Amino acid sequence: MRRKITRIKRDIVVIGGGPAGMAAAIRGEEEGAEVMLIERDIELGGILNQCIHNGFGVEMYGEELTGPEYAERFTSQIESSDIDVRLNSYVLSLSPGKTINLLTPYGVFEVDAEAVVLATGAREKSRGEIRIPGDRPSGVMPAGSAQKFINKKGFMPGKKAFVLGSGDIGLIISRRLTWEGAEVVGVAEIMDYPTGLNRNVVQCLHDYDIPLHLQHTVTNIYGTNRLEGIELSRVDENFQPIEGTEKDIEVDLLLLSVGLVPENDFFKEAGVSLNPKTSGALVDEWFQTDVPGIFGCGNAIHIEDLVDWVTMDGFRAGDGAVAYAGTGSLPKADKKVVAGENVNYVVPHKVSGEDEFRFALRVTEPMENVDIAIKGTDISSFQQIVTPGEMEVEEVSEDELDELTDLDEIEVEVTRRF
Amino acid sequence: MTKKYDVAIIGAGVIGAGIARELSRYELNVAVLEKEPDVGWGTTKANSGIIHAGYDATPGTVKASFSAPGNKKYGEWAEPLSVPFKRIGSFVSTKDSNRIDKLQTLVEQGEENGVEELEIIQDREKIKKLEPNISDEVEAVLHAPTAGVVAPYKLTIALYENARDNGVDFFFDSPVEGIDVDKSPGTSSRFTVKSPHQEYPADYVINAAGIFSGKVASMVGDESVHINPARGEYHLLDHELQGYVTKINFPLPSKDSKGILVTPAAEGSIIFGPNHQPLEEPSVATTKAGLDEVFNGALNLFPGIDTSKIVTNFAGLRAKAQTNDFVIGESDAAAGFINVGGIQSPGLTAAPAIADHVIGILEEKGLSLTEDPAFDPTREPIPKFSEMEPEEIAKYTDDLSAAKEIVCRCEDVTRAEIEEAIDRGAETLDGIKFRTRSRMGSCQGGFCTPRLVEILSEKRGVSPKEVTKKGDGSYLLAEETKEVE
Repeated sequence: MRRKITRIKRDIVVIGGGPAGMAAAIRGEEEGAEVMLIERDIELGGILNQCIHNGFGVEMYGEELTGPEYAERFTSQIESSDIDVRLNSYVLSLSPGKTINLLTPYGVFEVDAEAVVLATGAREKSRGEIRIPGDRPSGVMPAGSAQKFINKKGFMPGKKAFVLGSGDIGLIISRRLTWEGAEVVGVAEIMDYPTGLNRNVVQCLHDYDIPLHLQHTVTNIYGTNRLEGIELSRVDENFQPIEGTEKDIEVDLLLLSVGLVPENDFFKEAGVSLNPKTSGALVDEWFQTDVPGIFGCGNAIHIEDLVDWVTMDGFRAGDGAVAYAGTGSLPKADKKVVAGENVNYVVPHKVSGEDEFRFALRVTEPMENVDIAIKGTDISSFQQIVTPGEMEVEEVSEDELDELTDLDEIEVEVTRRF
Repeated sequence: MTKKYDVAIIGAGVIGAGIARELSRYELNVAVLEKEPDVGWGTTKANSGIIHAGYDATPGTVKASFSAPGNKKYGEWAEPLSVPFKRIGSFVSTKDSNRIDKLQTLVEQGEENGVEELEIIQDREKIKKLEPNISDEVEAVLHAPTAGVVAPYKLTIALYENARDNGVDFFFDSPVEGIDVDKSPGTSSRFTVKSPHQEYPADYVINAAGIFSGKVASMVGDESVHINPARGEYHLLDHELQGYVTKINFPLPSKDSKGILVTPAAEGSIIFGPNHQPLEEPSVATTKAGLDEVFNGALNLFPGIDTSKIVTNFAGLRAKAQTNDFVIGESDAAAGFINVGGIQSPGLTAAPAIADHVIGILEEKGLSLTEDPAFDPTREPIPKFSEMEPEEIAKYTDDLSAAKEIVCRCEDVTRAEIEEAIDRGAETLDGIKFRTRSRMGSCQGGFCTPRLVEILSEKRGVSPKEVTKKGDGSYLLAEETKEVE
């Protein structure tokens, strides 16, 4: 006999139990919605669980917590709530009409949701995407995989490492490897500035005398079975290796920290429009996508630098989902937000102008003494140093909304003051 | 006592495994010796996976005589063995209307080789209907509907499993180090094939050692087989682009360039490749120049393809004989020693026809073939979760808790599939990859590798430190982390 698929209904279904999804679920439940939170791992917390270093929570709590400690603040709240948590559960499909096929340890369910929040996080870029030539031995892996092996499984993936990319994961793993007795020979960054947080450059590299090679990249990989070495080259202004600068370095581990990509498969499945710049969904100030009732938050929208911002976005998406599930609509967001001078991208992509909001941006290059402003208004804030490695977050308050009334398009720009 | 074999096959690529499977129809003792820990890890694993229609081989060559017949036989292999194989058809395209006569030459050549249904299409609308995203500049194409794509590693795994089920003995990690030949008349076993662990007496030896078939031939004093490796590089794109390219697309070769082909692989993902780099020593390392060449070559026919969706790049080898043709036949140096060398493109296409032909040679040289009534030509595939509908998933996972854990999230591979791959013979991460597609998707194993290492170590009862990517020193974990007090 064919086993039946159980059909259930929920006001809000949140997909992904990391910091973004936990915040959205908590807010939804606090506001009285029936919330289901789906997580494929055996526990909530997402990537925080393997981030055993501290530095989480400075913006949210004014404290420096470890990843698991930060996660625990939310998991304990969820445990004592009525949120319907589904662990070890996989979304098989998501329709634009917000019907979800869900595989759980207890069978397959068809869940009809009023609103869906996608908090699916991001993945690390692989060797193939950046096309590093050479042999294909073991010992080449994304930094996050190494972090999982070390922090969750108790194994060292190598003894003498080189790290390509100065993103935060690469910096933190360099320190972690050092603590575990491995030698980190160096970190290379193709840009002429580090792409991770400055505090991580200081605390993870400088404090351990690990050299950072700016404007360098790995141009060859050696080793038939296990990694035996790499070739490091300097690059020109077009990021092309400069002939004659090649240098061979003997290592048994090459970790890649060359960027994260939002996990956007469900957005695509549901027919949501994406931002080609971030690969994440285009969203409004409540993190609603252009498919009504489908929201997204956290790294699934754009790569954030601090988990605190992820949490705040999750709360906001939760607010939006509650409003949508209740009334089926939110104020029409018809003012486009666009990236102006020196801005790589800005989130959200559109706003209603009727409610206060926060926008996050990344600049195109490091700059000093700048104004982050909305063009044609007095809304502006001064920053001493901005760099693409750090996200800039600005609030537009209730009082400032009047200034946006006549604008059809909100252009965010970053300009040097002197 | 050492088992005596009627036939010992050296090499478990698509040729060796294919011959073994066809020999398993008969009441024979057959051994296959493979130097790698798995089947199909030489030239078989990294090629274009194309079953050519058969128009490109020069009439009169050995290659030509096996191409179209091999193509015709593919259904007979793929169906009972449940191997992904699709006759999607191929295009040879030109942007130069002055070169349409070259397409005509291929048609004539094809007809001489026994290829059916070839047509030249000059109607742009029709071209675009068959291949919507091909360059607008294409003036004419040669369409060969009988061409197809197969997953060469999956085919070889299936041939291996079926041969094994039908009684063939496979020996892995068994490089052949020498072959003794007893030339005295009347001896029952003429050959003793020697690997580091064991000796294998056999009446007949098939040399299907790919790149190394020259080396193996010289072990019986046959210096006539000269193999030169030639590398070809590829890019593989994410499966989300499935459908963007529908046919096997070759540019019409010019005197400057053979051109880069663009095709969907049998399992859906698009590949670009290969270039052609003659080598002194075999190497599957990719090069910057080569990867750039393949990348730019693909844009020639598909200028709009989203190259940001490249998930990996790799290289494969061609075993190119000095004669530039297949070398198939009994060696002049040793009766009963059959060379099957120089099997470069269209070797995959030719494989079923080559297997039949080699069995014909064995029979002609005195091997008696009695059909085994117990022979079963079918082989069941590993059930593929990613191809199931929710109703099927509900049914499939009901009694199978391992099917409720999705290990590879990019390709939707369950723990049940991974465990079955291990049960069927996968001993390494690559072995699991070729059987299940785990680590083949967009994250390239970034997420699932730690879990795969765990499952493999548990199933095989070894420490995670002993788990390898591809055997022989390719370990993943160096040591335990420090003890925490």
